[in-house]
Amino acid sequence: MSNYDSIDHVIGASLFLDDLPEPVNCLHAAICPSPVAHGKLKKINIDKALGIKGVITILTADSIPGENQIGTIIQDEPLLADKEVDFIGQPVALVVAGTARQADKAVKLIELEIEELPPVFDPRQAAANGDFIAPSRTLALGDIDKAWEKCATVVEGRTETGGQEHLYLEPQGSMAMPDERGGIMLYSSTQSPTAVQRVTSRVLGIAMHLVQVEVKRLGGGFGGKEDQATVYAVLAALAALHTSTSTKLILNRQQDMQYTGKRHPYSSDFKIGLDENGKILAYEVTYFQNAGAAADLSTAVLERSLYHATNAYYIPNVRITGHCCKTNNVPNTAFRGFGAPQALFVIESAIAKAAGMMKLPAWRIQEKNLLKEYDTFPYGARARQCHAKRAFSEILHSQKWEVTQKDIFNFNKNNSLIKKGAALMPICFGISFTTGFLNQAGALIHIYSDGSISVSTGAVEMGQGVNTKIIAIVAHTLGVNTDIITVQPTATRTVANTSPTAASAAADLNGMAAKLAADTLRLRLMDTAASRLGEHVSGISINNGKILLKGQPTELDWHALISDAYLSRINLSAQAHYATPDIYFDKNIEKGQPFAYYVYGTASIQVSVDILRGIVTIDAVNILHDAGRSLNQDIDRGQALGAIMQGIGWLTMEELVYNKEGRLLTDSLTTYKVPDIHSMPSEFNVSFMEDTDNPHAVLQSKGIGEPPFLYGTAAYFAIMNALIAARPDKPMFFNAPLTHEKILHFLTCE
Amino acid sequence: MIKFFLNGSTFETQLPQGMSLLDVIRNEAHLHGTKRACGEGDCGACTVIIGTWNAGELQFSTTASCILPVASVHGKHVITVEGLNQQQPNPIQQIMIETGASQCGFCTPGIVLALTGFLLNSTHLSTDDAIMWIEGNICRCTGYAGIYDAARAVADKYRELLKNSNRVSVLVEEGILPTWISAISDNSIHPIDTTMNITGNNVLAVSGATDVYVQKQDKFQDLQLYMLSNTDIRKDIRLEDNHVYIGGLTTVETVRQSGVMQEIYPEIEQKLRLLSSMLIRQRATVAGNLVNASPIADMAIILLTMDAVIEVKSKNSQREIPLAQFYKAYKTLAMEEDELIYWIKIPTTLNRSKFNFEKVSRRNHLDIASVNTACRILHDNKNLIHEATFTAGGVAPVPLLLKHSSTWLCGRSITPETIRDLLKIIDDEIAPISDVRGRADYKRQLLKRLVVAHFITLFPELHPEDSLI
Ligand SMILES: Cc1cc2nc3c(=O)[nH]c(=O)nc-3n(C[C@H](O)[C@H](O)[C@H](O)COP(=O)(O)OP(=O)(O)OC[C@H]3O[C@@H](n4cnc5c(N)ncnc54)[C@H](O)[C@@H]3O)c2cc1C
Ligand code: FES
Ligand code: FES
Repeated sequence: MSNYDSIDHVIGASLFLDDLPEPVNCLHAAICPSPVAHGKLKKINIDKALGIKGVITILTADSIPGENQIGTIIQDEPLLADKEVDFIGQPVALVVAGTARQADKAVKLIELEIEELPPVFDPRQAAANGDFIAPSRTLALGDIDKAWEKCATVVEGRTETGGQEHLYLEPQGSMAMPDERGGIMLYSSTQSPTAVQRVTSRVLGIAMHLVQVEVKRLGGGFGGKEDQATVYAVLAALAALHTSTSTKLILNRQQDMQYTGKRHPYSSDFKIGLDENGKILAYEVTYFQNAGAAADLSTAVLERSLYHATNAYYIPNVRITGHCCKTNNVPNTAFRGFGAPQALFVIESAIAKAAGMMKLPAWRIQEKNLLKEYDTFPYGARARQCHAKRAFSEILHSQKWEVTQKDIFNFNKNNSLIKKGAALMPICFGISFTTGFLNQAGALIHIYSDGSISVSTGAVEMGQGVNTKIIAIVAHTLGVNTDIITVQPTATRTVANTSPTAASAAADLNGMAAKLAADTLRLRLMDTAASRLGEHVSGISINNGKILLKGQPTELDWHALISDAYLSRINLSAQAHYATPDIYFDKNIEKGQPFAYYVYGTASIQVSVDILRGIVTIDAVNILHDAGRSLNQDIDRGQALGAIMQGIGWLTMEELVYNKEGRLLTDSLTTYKVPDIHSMPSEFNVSFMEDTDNPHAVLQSKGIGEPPFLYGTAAYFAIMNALIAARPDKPMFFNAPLTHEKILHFLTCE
Repeated sequence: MIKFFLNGSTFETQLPQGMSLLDVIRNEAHLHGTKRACGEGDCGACTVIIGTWNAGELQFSTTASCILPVASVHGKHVITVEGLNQQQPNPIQQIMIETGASQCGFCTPGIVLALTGFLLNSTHLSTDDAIMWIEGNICRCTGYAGIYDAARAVADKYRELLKNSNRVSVLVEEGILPTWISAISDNSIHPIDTTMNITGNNVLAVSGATDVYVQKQDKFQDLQLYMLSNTDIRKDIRLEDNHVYIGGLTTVETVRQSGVMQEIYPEIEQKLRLLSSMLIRQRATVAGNLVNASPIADMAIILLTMDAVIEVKSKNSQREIPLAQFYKAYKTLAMEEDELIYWIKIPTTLNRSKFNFEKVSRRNHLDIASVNTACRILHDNKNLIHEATFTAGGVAPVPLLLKHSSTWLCGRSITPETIRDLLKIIDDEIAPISDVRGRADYKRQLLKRLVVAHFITLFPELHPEDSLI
């Protein structure tokens, strides 16, 4: 089954936030952002701005009836700046006017008096100053201090990975409508309706039941709307409360890029030790995460970096330290992979560098150290149903890897203008929110008297196909066809206390809740059928909308059964809740089992570098991925391909450029470049491993959203291998993104 | 008042004529299938089809409605996704569903329109052409695999069917275009009068608007627009007196496909694919590219090597300006405010020369150059250079004619030493600055590599790379 939404998408009927009908007299709000990265906010002069035709009111921190606080994990971020500004783009005031254009005009006339303070943009500088968002954390396994002595080769180094703009095509926005009881109805483009509800309630000083949040679909999220959609929803709500009028706040692209957080840049130090055969004995790493000016989700992102520090390898002696550094950048946030890609880049850099020292191909070291069943992760959990080795060796085989390596070698020997390179990338990604309590979900199913079915869950549809999967799960469980099922918009009034749609776990958690609700209904209906047919329930089953007795058709079909159940006053609604079992973590000892299960796979990427011009072509991407028993191969393949391109973009062309004052210069699609259709490799394949059933998620499936992002890392090392073929005299460097500029610099500088 | 056909019915708007078509479609016509994602022509989410009357026939193009002033569709046909389908997905849409070309759906309507434009216009109906027609559409979700498969399937399905037949009627029959289109093609609905009276001081001359409208739409709502398309400036290319005449309204895409231009520089068809995207090139004019005077303007960099001469006219006068003297300083031109470009002319005798154009940007397509450069070399069979013109973009405040370097080269023979010395001279002639497109030293290095690329491309048998890189 193709994506449930795609018919509406192709005919242009799908409504996104900015497409919803506006209430009569709807007002429009615009944000007055801080123009400086750090300073004392002395005065906000709004007199001139108030003179603009159409301006209704201008709100500042003083206008907030509740708490001026939007932080989720750590409460350290005001909605509107008060006394201090900490990053460029931080909301200082909100203009509410008749039209968006009037509001924008007025913003330009607001005069801010700010006494500038020196800003910090470098996480290492912040660490040196002692500016941390939260205490640093260290995970350890074995005895690393002793282990170094046993190593034949020890290599140290430093890596940098840049930030990444989400560039969901639909910009951030929200529409708030006041209701007659002092409450607010919010339409928000958020991955976290409950977070929006909770923070709105806190800021407005009203109870959560007075705040309703509804989300139909997102035009892309990728983590960028997990925590950062909240601020726009709350601002719209604040305006609606003050004006008692519906208010809409939609960012344009430039504002979105200027105001919102990105993937966290990391600067890291590593030290790796191996025996003479390439077995890794010790690995030590320190991450300096640029969290930006407030916590947002940074501590959770860093936590995942710690857990994924050793990627798909078993290393007996490990020390991993993470610093969550406070700077004057926009607070950085969730982005597909959530800290794992940054950690993976460091270990793979360490392996590449060690390989260079040992005159071994990196893939030999990768191969030698892959996780196997019951191997221990640095945080104590053990690898289970581990497919790391299998995926790697199947790719070696299907890609005729050793032959390919020889071909590349010969090609490079005979060509000076083009050099080819290739790299393999095994991955391992844990599924579950590392914040344990988030691993819960709810679902509500109604069967109407005509037999049609409505499903509500906490999952937000943003193109990842979660609704399609949930429909398939419910159809499968109830024994009906998918075409009588509708998934409702995600709303806090139907399913409460939801977790964000994130961590690749939305289908797992919400799908399981939906399955449990459907199970309840199925049992009730089987009882109804049994009494109607005068048979024992054990012989009853429902399949394809038919009611079967011992596998044989009966007079009853789905419609008759539902009608019968309704007339017999059977409850045709069910609610269910699911909480992932068996996950725990003890932060005091930094040990536990934070994940329900792991996803494995291996990528092979080949590239060509035009040595003269310093430009890259990605020639081939071949992936073998572990999707469990996929709920929908088309959707899972689409997720994987999209994630890989994002991963390649992150490490190659996507570069955030700032000026000295910390202003983002690449704040448009003209200057910030994401992969286009010509960037697509001519060979681009994802296949799924067979027989990898997963008992830890719904119907043996696995989460798919994030893990494939990690495969993109192979592009960096493939390009690097091509560069080294051109300049064998130079050492590799580990500073992503590997832009055309850096490539030419490497090729031309001594 | 602006009046046009929107999905087959007339639509009138009193909104300022400088308002973007996208705003009119979304906010006044309340058609929400056309999306706003970037607002500057760089993503294609707002793609619509424009039908223009030409000699009693409707000609279709695709365009980014976010940077199109609504005034420029006066009297034309605008087709949005809502105008295409009658409830059920049409074959293009069905193919996109099947290939998984849509995830979040935000980019999807734009791609549907772009593929429709492909079927209406592409000569070869090849997969490569189909990709070209959607190269201006950015998708952040799919990784393009499903979109690529859809484009290929659409091309395969209709290649034979559309050859040598009336495309519009076949596409109507196939359910891709709505039936009302045939009624219009039949000329049963008469085109609206396109003459407009422009008065007032605050006037801005606009042709494709792909330069002036980027990030400035807001400002232009208050201006009077002087739509150059309503003047007698031409948009074709003609051959006369041993010169190629490019009209003052001729688009970059017209130049790219022009046989006479290819006679001078055969690779221009491929090379101009590096200028923006099909979506933009269909509208972007050569004159607009020259007047915009961006230091990396690709057409300027190429035309400077072609001894181009600009014919300008004002109310009372008419004169010629060699392009080589056109750029005086950053965004300062040797042209008066009231002058308009009518023709850009190039001597056909140039076809004896060899040309090459090189461009490197952050992303290989749909991107502004970090550095671009073109050259023209006329040499004899002993590799002695008789004439040479080298240009470079992104290394000076204007599209730069490398005068000294070009003069120096004349009379020399092509050897690695010559090239090496040339690079030194070029180094002295440029003054790049650091910006988002690269640091100054990168641009310096890059230009030198691209100049070497000129020689490697034009004289592969000499293998200059052996001693130069
Ligand atoms: C997404 C995107 C990508 C782009 N990529 C590139 C690229 O890769 N390379 C590149 O070089 N450019 C690029 N551009 C810039 C732009 O498309 C070109 O410069 C284009 O050729 C401008 O032509 P236009 O007709 O749209 O100009 P307009 O915007 O209509 O006009 C530009 C200026 O020229 C003046 N003008 C236009 N015609 C005449 C005339 N006949 N006589 C006198 N004055 C005139 C106008 O008054 C205005 O001042 C891109 C633009 C966009 C939006
Ligand atoms: S909105 Fe991106 S091109 Fe128009
Ligand atoms: S499907 Fe989401 S941007 Fe293309």
